Amino acid sequence: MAVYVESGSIVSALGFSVEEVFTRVWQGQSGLACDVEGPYSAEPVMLSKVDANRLEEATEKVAPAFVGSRFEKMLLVALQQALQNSAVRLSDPATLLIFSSTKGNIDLLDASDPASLELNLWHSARLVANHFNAANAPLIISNACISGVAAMVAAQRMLLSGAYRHAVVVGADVLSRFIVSGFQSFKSLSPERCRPFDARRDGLNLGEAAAAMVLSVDKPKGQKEGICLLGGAMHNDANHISGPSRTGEGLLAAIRNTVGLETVDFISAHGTATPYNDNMEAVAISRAGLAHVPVNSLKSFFGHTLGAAGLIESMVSLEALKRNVVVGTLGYEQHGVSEAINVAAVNFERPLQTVLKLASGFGGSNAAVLFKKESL
Amino acid sequence: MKTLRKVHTAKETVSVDGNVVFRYEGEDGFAGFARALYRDRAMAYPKFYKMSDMCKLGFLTAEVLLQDHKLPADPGRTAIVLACRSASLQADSLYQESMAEIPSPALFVYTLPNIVTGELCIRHKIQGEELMWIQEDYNEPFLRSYADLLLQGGTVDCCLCGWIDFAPDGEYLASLNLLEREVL
Repeated sequence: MAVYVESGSIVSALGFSVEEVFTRVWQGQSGLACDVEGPYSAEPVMLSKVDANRLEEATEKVAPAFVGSRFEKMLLVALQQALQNSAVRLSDPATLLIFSSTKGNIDLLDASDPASLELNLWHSARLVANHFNAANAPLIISNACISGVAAMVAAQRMLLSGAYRHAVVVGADVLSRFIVSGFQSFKSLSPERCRPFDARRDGLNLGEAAAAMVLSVDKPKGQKEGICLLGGAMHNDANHISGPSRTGEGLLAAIRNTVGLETVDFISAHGTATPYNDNMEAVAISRAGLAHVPVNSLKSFFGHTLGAAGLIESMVSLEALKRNVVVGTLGYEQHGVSEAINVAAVNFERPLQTVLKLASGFGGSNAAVLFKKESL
Repeated sequence: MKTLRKVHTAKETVSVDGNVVFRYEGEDGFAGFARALYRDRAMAYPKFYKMSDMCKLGFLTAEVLLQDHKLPADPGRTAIVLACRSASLQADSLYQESMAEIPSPALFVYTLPNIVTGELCIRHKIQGEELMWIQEDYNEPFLRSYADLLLQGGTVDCCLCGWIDFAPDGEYLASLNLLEREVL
């Protein structure tokens, strides 16, 4: 039995569909811009924001009666889009629904009591699941920045166990004063557009986005080629709660237990552009024997979108896999990590069969997931 | 899959497999309970004092759960599968208060529900799979079945599995199972 990627969607600063977003990414456009208006920060800050009017219009179009927060609307629009190109229905008892987010409606904490129900992720998930008449109670993963990758891996496992035939995975996080000030307090934000793996990299940028992926054990119909989610793994560094391991221990284990005997043609790194993260990843990639494999980071296009990152970056990478292209890493000019990994600086064409997606996050978390093209 | 031990922490009381092993009778609520249990166990782990209440709750419960137990020699072969209802909302509101003056990185780091998992991994040298689920109510059968998938899958031999919740109103409950793959 195999797990196929049926369809997917993206809601981001670079557009509201995989097609639109990929075209912009391929043209080298970034969703990051210097935000001086607030309300997220008193000082100017580089952010990748989802256009508020466009989100309202998109929600109005698909769900005029829906009452929900910005976070919930992003989830709803992403789900709606992913499902409209798919035969999978959430109302089918054979369909599992998994949400991924780090902070959900935390932007509402500015104006609410901490005990308000709307601050809970399960509250948002239930609201959105009810809109789609979901047959199964939604599951939620909140595992910092690996949430999206972890949700795909968990979905694949549960599909292979035979408990469900289809799974819809959706991830989102929205910008907030809370998150922006937190990363500012950590001094991890770059004042400019971030530069993953570059010698001058000095921090990350934050972004907001939603992305969804529809998975099924049924072979896609009417296509010569499909994409399988082969599997993945998560491993903890057991080293530090907010800093990555210098030896890349956890990520290395996640890569090894994901890749097995498969050949990796391309790596979509976490690549936040903080000095420590990128170096840790380079060490893990190199130790895994993958230093020759082209690797990119998409953080300079979307910013770090937290619980959406794994999904949005996977969707872009799957589009690249279909088109046999590697997207260059915007902002990468001069190699700036200790290992001689093969960072893709510019776009290029190359026959691809597999893509490895990586993620790491606070709490010492690391995750990897592998996708492969299959002839049908 | 077999359950080696089950530890339950609530209302300033800790029980192991249904038997009360520690009870705090003082007046200082969770803070007093946590301090007393930490001392009772003669722990020397200064990082404990920096932790959020959710982390302290999970940390202490896991101390009792893993007392005198030897985890698999390969740190990659123990997994942690947890769930909670309130995520890190209690820590979130403390950080939110600090934003009015100087946002505190020491508080911000605890504003994720999976930090407790990270703390347990560091303390007990666990490097296997870890996952934090959010559930409206504790769905123990689901967590156990997910843990069983991992154990059956053969990538881990042992799993800490259960619930660690610290609500913004101060209500708390931890219930952890120590699970092991059945060797047939």
